[in-house]
Order: sequence, then C-alpha cells, then structure tokens
Amino acid sequence: MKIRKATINDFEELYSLGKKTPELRVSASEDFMDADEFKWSIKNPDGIFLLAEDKGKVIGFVYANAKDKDRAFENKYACLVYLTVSSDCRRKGVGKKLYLKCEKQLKKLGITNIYGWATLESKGEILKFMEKQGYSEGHKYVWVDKEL
Amino acid sequence: MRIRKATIADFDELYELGKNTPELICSADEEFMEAVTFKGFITDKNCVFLLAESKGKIAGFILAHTEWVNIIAKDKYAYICFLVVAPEFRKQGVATKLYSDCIKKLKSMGATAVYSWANAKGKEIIRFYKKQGFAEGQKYVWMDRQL
Repeated sequence: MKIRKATINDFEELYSLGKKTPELRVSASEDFMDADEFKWSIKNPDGIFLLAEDKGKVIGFVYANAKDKDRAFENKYACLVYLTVSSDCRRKGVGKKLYLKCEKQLKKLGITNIYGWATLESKGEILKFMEKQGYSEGHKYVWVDKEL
Repeated sequence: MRIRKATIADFDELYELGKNTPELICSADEEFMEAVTFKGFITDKNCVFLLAESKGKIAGFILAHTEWVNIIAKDKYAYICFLVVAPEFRKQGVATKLYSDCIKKLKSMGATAVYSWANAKGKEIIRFYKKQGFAEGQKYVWMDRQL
C-alpha cells in the first residue's frame, strides 16, 4: 500500500469512491459534493489531497483545506473535509496512514489546529478514530441547505 | 428595528452577543470564535455581515460567507456562519428580517444555493430554517485538535 498526492488523473476513481461512501453524505438533496467542486478540491493550492493505493487501485483518500495558512491569525485552522477508506479495505490502518501523512503536511504549512465534522449516522467509527488521534468532541449540528 | 451592514465600530457589541450565545459554540475547548477572526469577517468583502438594531442596541446579527467565490463548482453555495438574536429580542421576527435581507444580498452577489450548520439542540433554529425552505440533512459532531 502506498500513500501519494492525488492528481486530476485520479479524479474518476476518487469520485466514485466518494459517492459510494454513505458516511460522507451531508445533504438531504445531494448525495455527494458536485464533480466540479471535487475536481477543484484535488487541485486546491491551499489543500492537501492524498490517496492510498494498493495493487493499482485507490482504496482511500484524505482531503484537508488549509485556507487559513496565509492569514494573519494566531491560530490557523485547517478543515479535515474527507477521510474515507473503501469498505472492503477497512481495519487495516489505511485511514490512520492517510490521516497522519496529511497532518504532517498541514503542520509544515504552519497549521496549528484542525477541525472536522464527524458523522453521527454511522456506527461511530470515525468518532472513535478521531478521539484516538487526540481530537475533542464538540457539539452536535445538523446540516441544512436550500437552493435559491 | 432596522437592519444595516455591520461595521468595525460595532465589533465590541457584536462579539459580546456572539460570546453570550451558547448555541453558537462548536468546540468543547473554545468558547467562541477568536476575536481577530470575527473582526476580519466584518470587513471581508466576501462576507455579508448584517445586524439588527433596536433603540440603539444590537438585537441580532447574521454572517454569511460567499464560499463559491474561491471555488469552482456547479452551484454557488453561500454559507450562513452565524444567525443570532439576543434572547430578549426573540420571537419578534428579527431573524426572519436578518435572513431575508442577507439572502437578497447574497443573490445579488450571485449565490444559487445556501447551507448552514444548525445546532442540533436548537429546536428553534432548525424549525426556523425549515420554515425558510431548507432541507434537513445529516447530523454531525464537531471535532477539533491542536497540532
């Protein structure tokens, strides 16, 4: 298994994995981030987008947006947007490897704090994982959206 | 009651109201958004920051980010970061006024969709958004850590 930077050539495989992961769903009206925004995220100059691959197949990815990195804030927050491992490759440390590499790169950019929204709709696996990585659990929120 | 654009001169009063509103707190470790960040949003041209004032007092405020500006996406999503009304001014339509003026402004800037995170304990805010036509999505918990 290898962790590497995602490129736009990986888009199809990454996007298909994202769409197949129900834990990443936030909205009642859309099943996943739209394709253009996902493509933009892979290329986001302020982002870290890594993937895990095994035998030529993408088995997981992590995406963090570090848009505070150039701001004059004392605490520079990055948002952990996605951390996903294909359901048949879980419980093998893939998520942890992806996460730790991402965290290391965020630190290098000068990020001091990370936050993320952990889904409460799954069995709490992501919550347990993040607690193990030193996160504290905050308050619960519900996503709401509408078209204008 | 009057709705107007927030300015830097309103900072102290706005920030105080934010700090005194427990529904706005996400993190277990931190009380409210850092002052410098909050201040930055008042002057950020990619934000809509409006306040409601009544008899010289701030009754509530709304802050929305025009997130689509920096992203390439099919929908132009705006994000409502804060919508707050001081307890003594609730149930008087202040939030509705703030919200509708904010949406008007966002639309004129090009927004095609809007989203927010509503405190899961805040039954009133969820009811409010539903009344405005929002669809309720999934429930999440805020997690954060220092590096």
